[in-house]
Amino acid sequence: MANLTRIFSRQMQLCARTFPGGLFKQCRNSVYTTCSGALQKAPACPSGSYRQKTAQLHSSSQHLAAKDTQERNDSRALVLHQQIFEDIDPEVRTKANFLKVLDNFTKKDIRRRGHVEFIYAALAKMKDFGVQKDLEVYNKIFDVFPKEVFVPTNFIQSLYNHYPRQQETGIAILEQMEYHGVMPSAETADLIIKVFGFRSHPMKKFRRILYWFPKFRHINPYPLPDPLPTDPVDLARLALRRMADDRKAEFKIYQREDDETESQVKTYVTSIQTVEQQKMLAEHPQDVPVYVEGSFRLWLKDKQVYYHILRSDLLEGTKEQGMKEKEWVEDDFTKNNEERRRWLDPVAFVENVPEGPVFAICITGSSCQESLNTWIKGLQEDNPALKKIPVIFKLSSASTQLAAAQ
Amino acid sequence: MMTIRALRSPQLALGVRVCGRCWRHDGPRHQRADPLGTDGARTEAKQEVDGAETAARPKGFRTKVVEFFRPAGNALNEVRKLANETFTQMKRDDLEQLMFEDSRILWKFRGPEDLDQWLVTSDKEMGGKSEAYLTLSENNTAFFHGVTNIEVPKDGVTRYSGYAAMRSKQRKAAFNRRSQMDLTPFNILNLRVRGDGRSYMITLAPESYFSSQWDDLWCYFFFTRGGPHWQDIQIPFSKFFLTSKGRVQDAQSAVPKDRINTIGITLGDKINGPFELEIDFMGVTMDLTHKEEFAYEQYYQGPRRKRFTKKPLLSTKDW
Repeated sequence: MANLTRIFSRQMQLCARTFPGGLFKQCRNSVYTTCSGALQKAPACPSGSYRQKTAQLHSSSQHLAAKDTQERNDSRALVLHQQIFEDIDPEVRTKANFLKVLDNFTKKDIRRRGHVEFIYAALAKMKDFGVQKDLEVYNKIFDVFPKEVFVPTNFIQSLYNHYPRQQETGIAILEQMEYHGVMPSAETADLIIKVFGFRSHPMKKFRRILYWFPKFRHINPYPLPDPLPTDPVDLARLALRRMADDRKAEFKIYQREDDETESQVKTYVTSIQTVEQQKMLAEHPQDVPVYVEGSFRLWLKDKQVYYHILRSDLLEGTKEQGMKEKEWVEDDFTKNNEERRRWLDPVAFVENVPEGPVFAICITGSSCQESLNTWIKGLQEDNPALKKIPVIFKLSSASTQLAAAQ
Repeated sequence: MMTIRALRSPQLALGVRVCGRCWRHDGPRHQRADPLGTDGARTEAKQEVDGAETAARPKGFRTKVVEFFRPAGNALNEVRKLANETFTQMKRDDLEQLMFEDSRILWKFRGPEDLDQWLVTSDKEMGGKSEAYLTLSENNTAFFHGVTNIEVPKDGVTRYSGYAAMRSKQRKAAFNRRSQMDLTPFNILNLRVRGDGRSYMITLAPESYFSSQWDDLWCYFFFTRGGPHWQDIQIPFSKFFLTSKGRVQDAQSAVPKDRINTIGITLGDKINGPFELEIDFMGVTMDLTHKEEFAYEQYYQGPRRKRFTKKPLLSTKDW
């Protein structure tokens, strides 16, 4: 016993000597630092006899995991797990290489020493490798845990929090999956059960995800394909169809990027117009101008597109656009009594915001006036009435509008 | 109830806001130096407090006299308010409306005075970089806009960042009692908005007694179409799920509609960039065709419950 204590204290001394902050601090760094670019090398140790002796006993996580780095550099540097991922050239940060790093760690040691720090480092670096939405990679990360070691085997173990740090790590993996919207699979469940057992916190987290994800999977009434199309015209089609709020609305491409036109700007011009809007434009008085306004911003997932609208001011006597006839059940209390009805059901009678009608929406590649001219020319062919109506351009970029509002 | 609170902190009964940083804590709970030096969020209340501090100057005799008697005046005012409340309750001239009303408008944004009932916050409060503003749009409706930034502050504790929220102010009755909205006659929440294609969340905060329930929020999402057209949104109250401190809870229950303190709109969709949401009005309606009471399972996972505990031991309605 005394011998053991001596060895232990020696090790502590060594730690204190190599790192000014102590070993504990270094371990913490491996978990929490995300963007430390500097390679953390320990100062060269004095090659005393005690150093060689304790080298075998010194089984710190970093020491073992960094073995290959040491051999390669032929130095005795201690390297953080973070560094293994950061050492990879940014150009070859791919899924295959990420899996290779995981594989290297898994094959190195059957006891998987330092896997907690390694997993946290891997989770932090997933985005750099572009694998943050990949279920297969998450399963591989779960595979890093040693199997059957953390499964409680008696009632005391299952009564208390068995291997809390490891369970927290398991939850951290699942939480990152949850954050990126990755639905865990049956394989994930098998791995969790193999590593932590069925009655464990990661399993609980897994079941929570399994319960809540399908509940909210399809609640978005404006679904978008995943991933979004890369072609800007396809993106514009999605955006315009969404904004028009009418299945019969006609989507038109007035100009493509590779079209031969007299205008200088090589860009695409897309537009959408509903039948009602066409009718409204035909009935529009010829002496009242219409406006081209924009650009406004629309988000499609994390992509922005900018659109312009053709609109006019609200005219006296015309019905407001978007005003829908409210229907209500006429009961004995409110029959032929609008005032009473208004009193009992104020939400049905909220007056619309006084705004003029919108005649068409367009998305162009450059959002410049040249392309908008092309749009108006195209619209004039579809709506002969527009040829006689004066068109006024009121253009500003979306960011300046925001600045003006502030 | 009133007496107890007034005894505990006299500034409460007299309507002195000590904490300018948040809407809830009336005591000096948030009055600490900003650990990150980000200067917190410049909410309206905060600026008021700042102004009060800078305006401090040596007082003359007359000021001292006025200040000495101000509490009495305030208290009288509160008494007047209480009498007014009681009288309104006794009159009951809205009984017919209470019995037959189909809908109620909670907030209608038609001018600058309607914005005063709202508080705007963002993750700037905890060192983040998002910004949020609530201003009046060209159409005199509410315009909730700003920029979200998901960059996590480097304090070693925070893990997620990037939200913007607006929340209605706590309604107060006489003697600074919190007063709640009773929405039991309704089952649908109505909104008319014009957004930018991002998804938002509606949060309902009910009154609760135990401190473990103070952070309870019932949430549901709404998705904006984007574009120039207005959008009418109906969200059934049955869809709202219970969260606490941003975590969805295991033991779910329907939102207690009889004691809603505040209603808020939150944006936190993990996207960097500007957002714009125009809000016309918020209201509640009764839709008799909507039969659902609660959309989620409510099975109980804990140890077996005792037999006679179905009735709550302590209900906030009782006090």
